[in-house]
This record gives sequence, structure tokens and C-alpha cells, in this order.
Amino acid sequence: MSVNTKRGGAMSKVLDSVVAGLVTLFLYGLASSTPAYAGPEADRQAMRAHYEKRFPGIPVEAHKDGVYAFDENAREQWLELEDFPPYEIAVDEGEEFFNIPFADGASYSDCFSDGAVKSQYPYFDEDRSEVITLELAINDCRRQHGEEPLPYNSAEIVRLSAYIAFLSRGQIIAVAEPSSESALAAYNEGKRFYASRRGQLNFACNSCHVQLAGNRLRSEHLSASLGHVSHWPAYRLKWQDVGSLHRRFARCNQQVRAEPFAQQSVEYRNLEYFLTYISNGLPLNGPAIRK
Amino acid sequence: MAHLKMNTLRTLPIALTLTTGLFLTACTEPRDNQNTDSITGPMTASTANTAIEQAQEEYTASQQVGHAWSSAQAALDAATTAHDAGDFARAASEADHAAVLAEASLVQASAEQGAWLERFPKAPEGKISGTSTQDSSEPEPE
Repeated sequence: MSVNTKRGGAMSKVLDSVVAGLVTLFLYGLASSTPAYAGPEADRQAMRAHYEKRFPGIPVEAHKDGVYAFDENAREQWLELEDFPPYEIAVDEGEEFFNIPFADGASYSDCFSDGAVKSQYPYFDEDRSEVITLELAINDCRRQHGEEPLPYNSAEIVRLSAYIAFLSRGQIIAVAEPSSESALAAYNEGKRFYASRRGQLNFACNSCHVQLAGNRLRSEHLSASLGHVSHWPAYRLKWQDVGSLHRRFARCNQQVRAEPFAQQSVEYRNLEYFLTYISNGLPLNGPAIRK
Repeated sequence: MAHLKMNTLRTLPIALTLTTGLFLTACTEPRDNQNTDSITGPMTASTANTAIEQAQEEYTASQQVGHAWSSAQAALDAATTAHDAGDFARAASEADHAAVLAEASLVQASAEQGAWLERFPKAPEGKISGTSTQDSSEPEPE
């Protein structure tokens, strides 16, 4: 009997140890799998403070112009280009596309009223549990009216968004603060993407645009993250065409030898969501010209 | 002086023999000792194919965690091209290269899981209270 009791006591101790171990492991796992995220508004304030310190004398809002905010020579050349902007043709073509009626007699204005709606995007759709960008909304509109969606790298969708961006110039970026669990998750995914090193060259987006912003990479200055989303689509001299923000994301990824994601992929939409939120308060100024 | 010449003449054949021996040894060193196992020996289509499949597996794993490298894809493409052209040694070599790059990208993905969060500027102290501290000069979000 006493032997059994002793055995029972020993078993109980072993069980206690196992339970304690499991609880410790669970708590450790919980702690290590849930990083201590700062809230979106704290991120935005921190970014603004970072660039105020990094670029003293340059108002944060000036970063809507990218490197032209602090590179005087490049700014002069850019302003010269703006006299006869190369994106003008794309805007005109976008206007034509915008006004072509769908087969059911409706048109884009049934979805986007007068077209000056850029500041409403991106947003987090709670029902669909995903980030909705302007390009996604354009294709949603087409589907609603029985039209085939446009490929996201097509000239037509880029021109349509260039026209909408042009009509929306001067609107202030004002993305609603992500509050639901799923909206916060999308925001944090975008934030994680921005700060994660990737590609064989082992660079994160924020290696260049936060930590090294203002420095030169070969002959080019590195722009600040704030304002990165304000001026798209943009005419890039390198592309000799107007292209989308996601095309630029892909190119950045390729430059560090990372495999890029598809335009309008969940990854790039979350990234756009994060970048746009931290740019809240800056004016929209697309389409723009960039090297 | 004459003594020196005699010494040189005596040692010259030995030096020549040694040099020739070393040279021949270097030339006849088996290739499989040169750390290029995968590109020597009886390389067959199936051996090269196995190497490509293994590399593809690693690359797919890196894609699944969102950290695929374009350089790994390029090496895989080169391996497939060489395989199709019948150059199996080159195909295996390129596949090995792709596998190494893909493994490195997986290490990167793992290392980045916790590291990225430390790379953001920290909120200035006293400026943030709660989660809604937008500048009053700026419009409220919609």
C-alpha cells in the first residue's frame, strides 16, 4: 500500500512537472509568436519624428515629392519636365476609358462618381477581410457591370488610375486607422514586409528608405517612405511609360534579387495599406514623374 | 666559386626530378578530389534530374515563406536549359548552386521572423497616448 502511495506521489510529481513544463512552453510560445507591435498611429508618429530629425528644415509633407524634397538639382530638372508632363497622354487616355460605357449602359462613373476618389483607397473591407485598392475597385466595378476584369499590368488600368489620380490631386491621404483584428493583421503584414530583409542582397524596403533615406545609392538619392504612395501611378523615365505603384514594388524586389510578387497580390496590397496609413496627412499629387 | 658550381650541378637533377614529379602529380590528381563531385563522374540525365528536383523543392519552400530569390530561380532555369541541351554535368552544377541559394533564402526567412520589428523608428516618448493621436492640424481619417 505504502509502495503504491509512494508510486502515486512520484507519478503526481512527474505529472505536475509535465503540466508546468507545458504551461511554460505555451506561455513562451505565446510570447514569442506575438511580437510587441506598436499601434498604427504610434508607427505614423514615429516615422514623422524620424524624418523630421533626419531632414531638419524639410516639412514632412514635402516628402510627397520624393527625392525632389531635398535634392535641389533633381528638383529643378523635375520642375522643367512638369512644363510638358510626359504623363499627360496617359491621363487623357484614362479619361477616354473612363467615359466609355459598359455593355450594360453603365460606366465607371456609376462606381466612382466624378472620379476624384483616390483618397478613399486603399481601405480594409471587413466583409471581404482584405485590402481594397483603387485597381481592385476598378475591376470590381467592371465585374459588377458584366465586363471582364483588366490585367493589372495592362495599359488600360494604369491609365484609368492615372486619370483618377489626376482628378484627386490635392486630396489629403486619410486612411482610417485599422481597428479590427483582421485590419490590424493586414496592416502588420504590410509593416512586416516593409522591414523584412529579402533577396540575395539582403535588403529590406526600410534599409534604404528609413535607415539610409537621404543618402546616395550610386548616383541616386534615397527617398523617404512617407509620400511613397502619394504620387502613383507615375511616369518613370526608365520605363518611358506610366506605371503602377505595385510595378515599382516589384522592381524594388527584383533589384535586391528577390522574386517579386504579382501586382495586386495580397502581399503588395497589405504593403500599400501600411505605407498609405503612415503617409496620412500628406496630399495626393499623382500622376508624377520619377527617374 | 667552383665549389658552388659543383653543388649546383649535384642538386640540379634532384630539383628537376622533384619539380617534374610535383607537376605530374598535380596534373594527374583525380578530378573527384577537386571538390566538384557533382560535375564529374558518369553524369547521367537522371542524376542531373534528381539534382534539379531537389533544388526545385528547396526553391518552392522558399516561395511558400515569401522569401524566394530571383538568383535561385535563374540558376534553376540555367540547370533546366543545360539539362535540355544534354549537358548534364552543367545541369547538376547549376542545380546545386540553385539549392544552395534557396537554402540561404530559407535561413534568411527564418532569421527575419523576429528581426524585422527592431528596424522601425520608435515612437517619440510622451507623444503617443493610446492609439489615436493624430495631429489636430490634420483631417480625421474617413
